[in-house]
Amino acid sequence: MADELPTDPPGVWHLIQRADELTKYAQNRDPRTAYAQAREHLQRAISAADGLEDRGAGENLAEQARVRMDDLDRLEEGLG
Amino acid sequence: MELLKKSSEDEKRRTPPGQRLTRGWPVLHAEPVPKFDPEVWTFSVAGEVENPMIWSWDEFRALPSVTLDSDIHCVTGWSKLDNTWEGVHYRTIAEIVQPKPTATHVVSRAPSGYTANLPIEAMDDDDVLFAWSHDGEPLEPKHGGPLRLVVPQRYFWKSTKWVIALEFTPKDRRGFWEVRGYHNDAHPFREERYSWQEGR
Repeated sequence: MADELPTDPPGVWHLIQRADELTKYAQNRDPRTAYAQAREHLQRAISAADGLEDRGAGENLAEQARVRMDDLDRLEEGLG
Repeated sequence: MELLKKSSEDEKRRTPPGQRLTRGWPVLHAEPVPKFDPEVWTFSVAGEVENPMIWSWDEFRALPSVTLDSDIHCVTGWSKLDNTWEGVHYRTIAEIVQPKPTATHVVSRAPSGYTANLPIEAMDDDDVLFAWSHDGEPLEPKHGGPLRLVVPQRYFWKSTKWVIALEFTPKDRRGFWEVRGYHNDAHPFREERYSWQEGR
């Protein structure tokens, strides 16, 4: 069963932060796998952010996650 | 025994809150390691300075060098004590380029476009340098070689790997991680990790 989505901004930020760590340490392992795992965290962060009561925080966090999705696109392109 | 106790107390004093010590040196960066060709490599300084400069690798290596010891604190939670760096002191660069009175901040840049921002006062700390050597060996590419900015008093993402340019700016401009929710000031001993802590 998938973990439940966080329901507060710190929980969403934690997902984004986990994605950052997977991205930063990707060069120590298979980067494609690391990037895919980072994407999963970011997708969950976007879903969770959309459900936050605090809409301002939700939009900011979703935007942070989307910026990182774009970063991952560029990083994956660089892998050839 | 007394010596061991003192050493442990010293490590504790030098380890910021929320950090754990590591003897190794974890490798982390968000982009691939750039290729280094000493024939085409340049380091440039521009922006709010009296004398904009571009150095070749040989020219940069010919600048007066220093050897400095400092600790590393990574925002992901590890610290590595007792690092010896060799390179060019920031103040040497500043003396050459002469920042204008309008310069308040500095943005360092890597070939990928990665940037990190700092107030000019942070660059003027005693232990800030552009390092090509770590613990007596050439700085490995995976750790930022051939040249890495080293700003020990801030979390280590401010110490741009593969640094090739420095821009003095008349106002603050957030860098790569700073626009992605990380703290603009990044003091490890104040545990300034995330932007939501700013202004507290």
